[in-house]
Amino acid sequence: MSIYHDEVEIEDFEYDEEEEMYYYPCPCGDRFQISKEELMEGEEVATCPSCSLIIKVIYDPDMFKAEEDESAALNEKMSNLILEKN
Amino acid sequence: MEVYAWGANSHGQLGLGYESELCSSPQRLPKGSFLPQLVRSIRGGGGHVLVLDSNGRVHACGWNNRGQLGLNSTELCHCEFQMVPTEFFEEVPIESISCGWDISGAITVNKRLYVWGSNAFQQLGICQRGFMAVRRPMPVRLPRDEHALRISFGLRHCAVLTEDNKIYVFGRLRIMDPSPIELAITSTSLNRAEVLKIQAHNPKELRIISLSSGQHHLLLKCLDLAYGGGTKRVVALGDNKFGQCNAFLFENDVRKLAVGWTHNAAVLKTNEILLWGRNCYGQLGVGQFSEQQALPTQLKIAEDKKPAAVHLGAEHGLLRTTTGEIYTWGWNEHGNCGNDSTENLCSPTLVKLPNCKLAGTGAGFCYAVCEPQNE
Repeated sequence: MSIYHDEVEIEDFEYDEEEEMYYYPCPCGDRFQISKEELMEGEEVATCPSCSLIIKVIYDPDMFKAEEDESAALNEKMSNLILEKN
Repeated sequence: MEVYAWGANSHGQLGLGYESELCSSPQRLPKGSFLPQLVRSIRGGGGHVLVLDSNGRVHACGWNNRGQLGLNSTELCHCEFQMVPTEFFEEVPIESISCGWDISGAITVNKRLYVWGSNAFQQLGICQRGFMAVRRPMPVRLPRDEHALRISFGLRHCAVLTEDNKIYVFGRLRIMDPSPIELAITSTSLNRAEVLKIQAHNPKELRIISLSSGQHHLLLKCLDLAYGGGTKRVVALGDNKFGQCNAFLFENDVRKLAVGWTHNAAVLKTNEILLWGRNCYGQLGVGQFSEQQALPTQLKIAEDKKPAAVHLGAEHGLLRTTTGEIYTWGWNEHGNCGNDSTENLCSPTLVKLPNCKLAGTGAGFCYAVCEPQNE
């Protein structure tokens, strides 16, 4: 028996924008979850808060890195703008 | 009569009045909104349950994050059963009910379809802003006002069998190539949502008479008109990662199909119980654990035990015998099997319950209606 209950592509997760969390149904009735932050750190295991099952998240880490760089670049731009204003 | 429930209870789906991680032995339900002797069917979803009584009324309990209880409530969970107001169905009694992960449906005695719960994947058959979730039963008009006969939900799809033996699939169900040769599958639109229309290529030879959904697959029981009208043929569509989508022509007529998330059971007219699909938690009950079984394999049960019904949860199974016994097998982390343990079971195991009349399962839990002998 493989240690993963399943392997699921990130596109198949449901994303909660407010919580910045990805969810996928777990057979126990609860949901596997992994945060956007964890994905950006390269984590690939989504866990269920109610049971021991885990799933492997299939995704392209570069996608999340790129997004991180983008937001970092955006923040930098913003602070430059504020500086310029001052 | 008494109602018992066991297994996962993280959303109060056992109707005991409280939430808990698990109940590993059958718990007697407190008095609820329905009378145990009137229960006609019990269907479970991911974390919620529907009960249909013989007056055609629907009762609901458990997780309600997407309004899947149909109570028009915004509460996250209801740990005790409540009746879905009959006015939501225009006072017409309900004939059958079905539950998916976070969605529910019902068909009235005049064959009208109602659905409610999550619409994240347009599985309610509607594509419209403000319809991410529907918290009370919503009538669905099928093309040309066709009547609905049966309904079944997967993780993200809803499949409806019409009176003229067509199937409409709402939401997301990926059909692998090539699709079954017996079927014509076309794409159409309903309430601006894309839906699949599935019918037999030649309705004079093959008639779809029943359907059952797994996580990402769908099994169809068919009547072979060209071969003397038997129901030996099972056609399958969808994901086949664990062999759950293998289709078969059985040696004897199929009486009933039951489908878990990634495993199936066929009960034959000869009382044989055959299972195939994923088996890593023992969910096939064939006496051993294995990754999967591509071919239907007999449930490991004594020959004199005749099936009255088989119900499959996400990763476990339940057999009710004609003599009122309950056997369970499969994934057991939440006490899904109700045998006071959390070890997975690869063989059917008797549950300590008095004379059982009716049962049902949800993703990680079971229900049974029993008639204790005079004590």
